[in-house]
Amino acid sequence: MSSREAYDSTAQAVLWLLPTIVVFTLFLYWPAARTVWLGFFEVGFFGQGGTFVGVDQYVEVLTWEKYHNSVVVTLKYAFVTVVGTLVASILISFWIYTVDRGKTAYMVATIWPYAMPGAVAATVLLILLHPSIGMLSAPIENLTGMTWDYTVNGAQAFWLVALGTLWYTLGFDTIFLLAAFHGIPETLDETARLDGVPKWRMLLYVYLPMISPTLLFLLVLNTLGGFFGGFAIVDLATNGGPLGATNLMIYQLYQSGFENFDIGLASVQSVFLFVVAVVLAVGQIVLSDERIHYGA
Amino acid sequence: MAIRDRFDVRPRTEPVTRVTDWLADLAEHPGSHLALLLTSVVLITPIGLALLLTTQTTAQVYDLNYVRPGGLDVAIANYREVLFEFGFLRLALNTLLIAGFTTVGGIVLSLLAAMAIVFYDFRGRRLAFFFILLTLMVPFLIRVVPLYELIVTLGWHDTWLGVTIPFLATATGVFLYRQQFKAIPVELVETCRLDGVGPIRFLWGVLVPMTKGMTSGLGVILFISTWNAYFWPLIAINTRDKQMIQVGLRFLQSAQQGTLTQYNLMMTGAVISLIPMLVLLLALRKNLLTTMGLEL
Repeated sequence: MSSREAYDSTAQAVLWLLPTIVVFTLFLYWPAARTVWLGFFEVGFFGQGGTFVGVDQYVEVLTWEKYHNSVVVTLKYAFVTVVGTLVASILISFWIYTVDRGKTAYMVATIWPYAMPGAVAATVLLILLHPSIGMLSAPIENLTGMTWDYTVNGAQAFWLVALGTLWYTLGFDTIFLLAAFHGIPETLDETARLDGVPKWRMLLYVYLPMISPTLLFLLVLNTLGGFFGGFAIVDLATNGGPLGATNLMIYQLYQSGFENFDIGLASVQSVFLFVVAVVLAVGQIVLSDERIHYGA
Repeated sequence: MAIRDRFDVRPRTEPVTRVTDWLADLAEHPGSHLALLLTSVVLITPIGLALLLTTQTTAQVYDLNYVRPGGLDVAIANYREVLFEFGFLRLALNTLLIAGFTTVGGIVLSLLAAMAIVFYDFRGRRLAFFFILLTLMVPFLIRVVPLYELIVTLGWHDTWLGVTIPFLATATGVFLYRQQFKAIPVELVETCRLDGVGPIRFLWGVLVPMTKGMTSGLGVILFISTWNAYFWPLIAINTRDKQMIQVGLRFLQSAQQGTLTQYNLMMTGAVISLIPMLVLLLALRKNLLTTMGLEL
């Protein structure tokens, strides 16, 4: 019998797998499990033993008003970045799909932000949109008639963080969507062209349903990104302010754990962040299961 | 590539040149071309303006009416100051070594693990695969607090061990290699087995050469994500000389000239930490995109 399993030494197999398993166990599963455990202890400082306080800290965080604000800000941020990134990258990749010339040039011009560090996006935007010296601030004020100052206006700070995130996350989605669009059978396109169906109707009723597995994959990844991303831009550009307007859950976790060194409180926040993100991600998979069209 | 029948090709009544091809495509899809052009401009303009500011003095940045390059000598002075006095050269080298080690280590560990999973017949094979795959559902933020504690306990705090070893194993890598290995013809594997090719020679002589393209794509993904890291190095490394480049952008925020913040130097730092990744993306984009599922 011919088979791909050419070797049968269990010892060797274990040896090859060992480095990966050890790293994952020691630095991933063990700390993740310990997070939940640490939430039950009130610890003074890293490395010190703590007092067992049961679910007290979980309740404390749940009833903490500052944290409520963080949850609301994070939900808003996740919603804006997930929807924004998806819509923008669908449009970009669809436009590239429709043209026949300059595909590569357009692709490079739109996916390069995949390589851009969040800290770079933050630095560039915080200077270009600086209330007094920003090169883009004056045009924005002239165009909209409003006063632009993200250091005092919470809504503006929020949009700075959200749009900045959109800028450097867009490329990743566009790459996957381009792959999906270009996997659509050519014949389908030809038929539609002959029938004179408008492009935007094709997009809504034919193409999007056909690439729905990719859309779901990106939706789940973007949702996780919406809850775990944005740290660099908040830390460098807004510090969570003004008045908590950009105080994402992840930034609050950083402040609790690594600025105030309250390990218990930070662990509880890790658990909540994880629960919210995973519930939403799994929910998306379950809810969309019936509508997803696998295989063409 | 699209398959087209002879009669599909536009009749060539006039000599077709690149220019007329382009014009025809522009006339056929004016909306898509316009939209792509605008999107590209919006995505690229901030970086263009950032480059402009790196050629200006701090005073020129503060002067809103000064919107032209400040001069080559100023630019050289800016880059020299950031690279040498603010240590960005050192930070870039640190990051190069850390990201290089993480990338190579990630590739090696993934290769070995995938080889065990695909080519070995042993009990617990499926279990091992799910153990690895499930790590994708354990985000960094759920484990960050105990991970920090662990690093401190191991004495790895403020060392490069703490920013590399915990991130050596990658589920994405194992998953991608597994896909590739499964596409290798069974006959080839069988021949190797009958010829008595040992696992090490099989890995080095067959698997590595056959997955070269994907390895470089995976390498780009791993290298970019380590180079762009901000959150973990910020808390895991204290000494400035050992720090990674993105956190360096935080140091630059305190660059002052009298009462003026040196935004030109902050921009210079941002450009320095962005350029290597852009070059990498452009140089290896074909391998990267193929690895991410986009056939070119």
